[in-house]
Amino acid sequence: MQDDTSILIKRDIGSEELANLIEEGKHGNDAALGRLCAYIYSHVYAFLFYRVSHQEDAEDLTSEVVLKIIKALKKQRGNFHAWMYRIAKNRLVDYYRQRAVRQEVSLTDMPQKEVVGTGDLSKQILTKEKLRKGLEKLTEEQKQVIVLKFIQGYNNQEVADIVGKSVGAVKVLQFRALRAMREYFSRRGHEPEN
Amino acid sequence: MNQKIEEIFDRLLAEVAGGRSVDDCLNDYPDHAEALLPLLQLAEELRDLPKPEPTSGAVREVVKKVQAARAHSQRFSLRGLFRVGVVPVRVLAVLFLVFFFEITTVSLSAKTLPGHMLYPLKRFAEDVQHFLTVDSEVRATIHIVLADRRTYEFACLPTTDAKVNEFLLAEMLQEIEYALKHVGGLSSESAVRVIDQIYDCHQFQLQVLEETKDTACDCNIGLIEEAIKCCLEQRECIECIKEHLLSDHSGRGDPGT
Repeated sequence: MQDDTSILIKRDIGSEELANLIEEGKHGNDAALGRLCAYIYSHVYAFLFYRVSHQEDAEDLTSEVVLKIIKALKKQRGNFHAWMYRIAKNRLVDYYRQRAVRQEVSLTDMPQKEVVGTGDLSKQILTKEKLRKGLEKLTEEQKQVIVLKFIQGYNNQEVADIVGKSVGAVKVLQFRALRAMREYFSRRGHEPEN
Repeated sequence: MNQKIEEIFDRLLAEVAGGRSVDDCLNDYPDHAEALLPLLQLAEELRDLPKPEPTSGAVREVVKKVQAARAHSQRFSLRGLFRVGVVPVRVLAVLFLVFFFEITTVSLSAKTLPGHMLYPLKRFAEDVQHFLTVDSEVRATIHIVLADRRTYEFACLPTTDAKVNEFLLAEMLQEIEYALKHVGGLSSESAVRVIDQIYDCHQFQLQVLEETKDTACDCNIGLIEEAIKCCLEQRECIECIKEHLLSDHSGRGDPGT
């Protein structure tokens, strides 16, 4: 497989180019599969990053999802992004379930301390952790909409295609999700920065 | 009302993303300003979060894993073809092995002589070939070939110090009889062709018998002479048929004898 992964992480690709990559990947073209791996990795990683506690978990989950996607690529039909994020979401649900079981049986798996400090880096970590906790208060569909729209930058139509809802439903979901998060942050004493 | 505020919020989100200030946007909807301001600020904060960027090392690692998984699945699929048991493939493989074994054995047995362990197989293959043949001309040709083979076998067997194989001798002459019987059912053109082949084979038989007689021991001479006598009688018959066919063929072109 061609090693142009770093280039693909940095830039996005057009829908036509993506369709070609998928088609060639289905036929076992190594170069196309390499580029497709990089594309899927960057998107799935961004999708999972704010929804798990540790960066390592995000990387491990992303790797598993990419492998699953490449393995099942020949069977893929319809909207590729919807299919890709559905696999990622299913794996994430499994992860939550396993984590819940682990926490029940192990006292050593203590909750992470929130990092409070000065400087941009510590502020980002704190924000990420707060966002993750805020996301935990949302329904699965609301979480998906928030991450896809505000973290990954998809527009309403794209989000609607991915989650399998109408554009109107996406607007409702995003409004209610932000309102729920806002209420949670208010209770926890976090105010959005102006 | 709810639907309306959600629509308004989405419109404002788009305008803020396009560069318009939050305060300016909210001026258009003073009734909703209080409710929408914190949500727009939160949305802005979410948009400003650092975009998660994977490291190229992690991606390269996954590409390697994908390569390894693909290589493994390709190996597995080839092994699985036989191990998991795709029935048609198994059947074909068994048929191929049987066919290969059969061809090899029949080829090996082709030059065997009476008394050899593979000789019965050779005879069995001849019987099968004869049984599967429907066409009269081809059947006649098979008998000629078999007569030729029996003659060759007879010539190869020792006659100087052992008793000749009477059975083989009889078969050798019998095959010519069988071939002659099929001539009757052929068209004149085919019949002429077959009778020529019979004549050649018969000549070879006569030659072999005469050569054998010269070197045979006393105990075999009587039998060989008797065979030569039969052979000569057959020859007369063959010549008669041939003559009749040739006159018939040149005269009317009708089916033969």
